[in-house]
Amino acid sequence: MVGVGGRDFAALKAWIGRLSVRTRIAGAMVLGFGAIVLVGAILDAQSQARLVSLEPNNTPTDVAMMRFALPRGRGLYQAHCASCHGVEGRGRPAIGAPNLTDNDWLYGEGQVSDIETVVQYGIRAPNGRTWRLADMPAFAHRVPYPRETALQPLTPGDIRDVVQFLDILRQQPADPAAALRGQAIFGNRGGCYDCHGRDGRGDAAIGAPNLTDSIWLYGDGSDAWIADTIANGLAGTCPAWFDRLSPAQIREISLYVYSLSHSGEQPKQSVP
Amino acid sequence: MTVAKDIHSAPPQPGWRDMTHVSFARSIWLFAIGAAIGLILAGFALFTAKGTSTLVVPPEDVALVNQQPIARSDFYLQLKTLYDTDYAHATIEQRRTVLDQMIREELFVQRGKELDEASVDPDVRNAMVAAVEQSIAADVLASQPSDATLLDYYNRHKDVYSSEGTLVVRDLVFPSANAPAAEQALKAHQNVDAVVSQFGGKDSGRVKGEEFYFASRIHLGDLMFNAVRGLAAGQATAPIQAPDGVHILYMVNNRPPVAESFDQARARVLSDYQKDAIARVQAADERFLRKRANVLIAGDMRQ
Repeated sequence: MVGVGGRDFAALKAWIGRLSVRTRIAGAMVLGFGAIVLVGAILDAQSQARLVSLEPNNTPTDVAMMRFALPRGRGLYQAHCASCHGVEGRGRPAIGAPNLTDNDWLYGEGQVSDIETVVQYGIRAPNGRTWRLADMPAFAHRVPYPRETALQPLTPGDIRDVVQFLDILRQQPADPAAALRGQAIFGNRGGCYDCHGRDGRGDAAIGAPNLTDSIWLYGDGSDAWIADTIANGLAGTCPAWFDRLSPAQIREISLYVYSLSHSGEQPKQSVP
Repeated sequence: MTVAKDIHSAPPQPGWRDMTHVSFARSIWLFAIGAAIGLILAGFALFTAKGTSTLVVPPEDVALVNQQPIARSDFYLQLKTLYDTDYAHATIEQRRTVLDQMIREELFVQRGKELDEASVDPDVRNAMVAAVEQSIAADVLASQPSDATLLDYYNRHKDVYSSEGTLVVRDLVFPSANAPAAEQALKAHQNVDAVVSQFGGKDSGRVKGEEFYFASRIHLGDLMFNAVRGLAAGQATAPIQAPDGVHILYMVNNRPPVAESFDQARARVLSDYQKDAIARVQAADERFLRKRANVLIAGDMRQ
């Protein structure tokens, strides 16, 4: 075994001395650049490791971490989510892609962990952990809801009555008699109450939207759109990214989406 | 004497710490230490089935079970599912319980693979088939088709995208002898109730009020529905013989299906496009699997 001694250093020094000044400068720059890249990669890996090991709902309070994650999350969002939710995250009602900037959440409560679950496993995506507890039945079809065959179709008049009832719920002008009939359908044979609740305020645990506000996932909230939704049903999807993006990338997207509806707001910290 | 001894004695040997000289003793020791470390690592791997395992749990995981990670995000999700709490608010006991359950599940899954449960258990087989089908479908759902692609799909399947027609029809039953006269009276736009009363007819009661086309088809049967669906309001069918008498169907109101525009149908177009794409990709995957597989079929099955 031969060690590296003073003579070897002297030889190395002599070899360097034989190089031209330009070559020495170029060599120093290459070494310096390599060192910078290496240090950058190490720091980046450390930050990513810290990002994924943090409790997701507490991450928004970590200013440094948010500064690290948001620009990356924005890039990932543009590449993977913007085609449906739009570049600014305002959604596309034509395909039922929700607005991500209004802090109205169809699934979960809008915490980072809720968003992360959707990004990871999707909505009605083809995996066992996806959010797929219920669909909107198509009441103008012979079998409105194949997952619950006891649910019967509605007549056109029934659908009109339910729309009138929903108009009452969101304080719009409506025919009171029709709305009364609609309420009976909503709370009984239509089975609407099962997901949307008897008060129509929805259930974020299963992705049933609130029907009493002015936010509509599909269409413009007109009676015609609502009737069409009741007649033909809905089952929007969101892809799962757990097998395409790294945990750090998923966290970065989730934090970015969270920031879209919490800009300039002091986030809620969940640590007691 | 002293001087002579100094002249004939060997030059002083360099110590093993002197890295500028080769040291036989140092080489032997380093070789022995390296061999010992190698043997220890090999023995540890052999007797603990750790293979080339790492001893560090990656930051995105909460545990490694035989090198199989348990993701931190899954742990949080499980915590939320079981105790409706997040990590920060969970007690140590809750965290431990969830982690123990997840480790147990992973161990049993791994054991299931070792035992090749899929070869005997139909539930496991079905789950595996479904999982593979789902993983194929995931590729399709992860890529959003352009509007131009969807529009093209819509144009090729335009007939599918229409509203369900609605109608209000009266199904009237007359005695055989009176049916032709009743038909003439209805076609002459006489009052329907008066015609029913005059010719001894009655309403069958099979259809009530406004119905979707599909519901009327169920209530009337294909023969009568097909006879009535093309009529305009105020028109009546010819008498139709049925076991319970002669039926004449009178159309009160008919709103045939209306084609939906691309914008109206976009959500359904997207859904149908994705379903078709998934079916295509799954079929292609199956073809590939069959192509690369070595499938031997018994002689009597080759017909």
